[in-house]
Amino acid sequence: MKTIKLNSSWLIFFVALIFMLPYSAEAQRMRHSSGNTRTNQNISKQNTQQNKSINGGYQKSTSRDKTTNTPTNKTSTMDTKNKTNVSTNDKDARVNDNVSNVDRNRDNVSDNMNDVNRDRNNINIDNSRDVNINRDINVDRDVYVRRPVAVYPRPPYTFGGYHYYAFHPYHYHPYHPFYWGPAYHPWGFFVAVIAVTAIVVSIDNQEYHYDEGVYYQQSGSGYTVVQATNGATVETLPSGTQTIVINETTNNYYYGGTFYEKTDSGYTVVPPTAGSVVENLPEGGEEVKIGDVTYVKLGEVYYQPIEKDGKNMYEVVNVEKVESSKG
Amino acid sequence: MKILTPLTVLFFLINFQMIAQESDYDTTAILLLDRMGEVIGDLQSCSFSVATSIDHAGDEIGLIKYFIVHQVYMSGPDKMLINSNGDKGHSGFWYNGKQLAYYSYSENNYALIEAPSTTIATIDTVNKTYGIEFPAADFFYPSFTDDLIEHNDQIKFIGKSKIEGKVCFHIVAKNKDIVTQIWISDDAFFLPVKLIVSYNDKIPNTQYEATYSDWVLNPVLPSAVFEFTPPAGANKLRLIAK
Repeated sequence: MKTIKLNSSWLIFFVALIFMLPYSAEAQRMRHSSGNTRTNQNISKQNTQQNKSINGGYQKSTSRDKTTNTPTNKTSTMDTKNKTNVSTNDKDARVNDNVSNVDRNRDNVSDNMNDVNRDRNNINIDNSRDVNINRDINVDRDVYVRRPVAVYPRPPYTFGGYHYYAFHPYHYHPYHPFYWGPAYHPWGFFVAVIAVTAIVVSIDNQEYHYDEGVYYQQSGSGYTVVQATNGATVETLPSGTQTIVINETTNNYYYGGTFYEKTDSGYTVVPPTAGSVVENLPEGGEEVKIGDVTYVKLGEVYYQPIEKDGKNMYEVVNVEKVESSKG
Repeated sequence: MKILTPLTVLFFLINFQMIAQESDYDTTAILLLDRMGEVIGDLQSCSFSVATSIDHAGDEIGLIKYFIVHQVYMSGPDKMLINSNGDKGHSGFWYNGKQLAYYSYSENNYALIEAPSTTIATIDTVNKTYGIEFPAADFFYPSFTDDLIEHNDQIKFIGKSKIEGKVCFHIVAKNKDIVTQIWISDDAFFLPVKLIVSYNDKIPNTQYEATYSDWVLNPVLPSAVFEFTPPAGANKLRLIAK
């Protein structure tokens, strides 16, 4: 009898446990099932009665089940821990993926250049070729901005996984393209004839015609102004060229959106050095808003509007991925 | 005695289960949050002010606090206007159900983005794609309470407190990285009064604070106010995805 009594009590216990366990383990699921119904009702309500609601009507899941609910990945103020990167197929996203100076993907660069080509009336400007053209100086064709010599005195502006370094504080002024003179033409400009003083510059089996700081490439029955190719060397620079001090021993020279460095054979086109300050930018750039800051993007280079000596100017920005941050 | 043993175990198990559930999510807090969500979900239009402060952590300088005041107008499921003025300049957003326009009064430039067909979808998409934060957006998600539960380990009703002279219900939600404090008005409408989000996963710890005021429920807002026309001379710019 004793044994039977014990078994009965334990039987009660196990029966109760059986009823309790599913409740504890699946109570949320049960309510979730109910919640689904409610959700459906809510959706129905949303489509009919509450279609004027500012948010479509409140939706309350009765399940309240953390483990069974699918994360929404909502990127609200409170929910940053579950943020995921949104992959967009538009041009903006691709361009942004390629702003790093240190981690460029050749295909992406090509994509970018295609974008540039499209914007520039299908002019063939292919700077993505990886040809080592070391004349007197080392010019890496895949580098769009050289890193600065000095250390930045201020923290970078950080947005979307990239640091944007500048020596000067942001000071917005509208982008107005500058024209260097009657001989100057912006990228994409078409001319039927070029000046007889133009010289031929060959690089990477491509032939360019250079005159007064402007590079032309034959297209159809005339010539189209193109972006200067890194490594191209010319003997003289036009008047109006700005000298930029890089360090004690090196100067850069700036004209029409192109940077040069003095070499034994003349002036060689180089990528701009981050921190370089220029007074004017040519046509062909566009203002882009990155978070709170408006930059001018010219080719693959970002320029930050700044104020220096009471004048509106632009500084070449050093863009680095957050992971490879160096300041 | 031997019969009581399993029943005692059962009793403790039931109690343990109840305590375990209560320790996660306070039913009072959930009730208050639901009430707030229901009121917001029933609104056909609204306007309010929200004053925000945001901490930005510099590498060397440390925390810098920025203050912005926003005027928000929402009408139906597909109209929104936000006018923001503060340390980051003066700007506005216009959403008309098809397009979201951004305009900077400070810089006189603007950008246009094709937008989804509802305000909530637009807020969500634009935030994810461009990193643009809309003030008070959290409270307008139709599944606000569910989302809060989903992303927090604890939600507690702390008690009543006064915010700027108004009696409020004080609720705290917490996960290992973020502590969210919400104050809901103790009146007929249960509207949000204050929000503080403390990020403990960042060094130094940063904080986002928003104080809501001047709520107007179901005002008549003409559709024209949600349409944007670029001012003369304004530069068009492109928003870069994050």
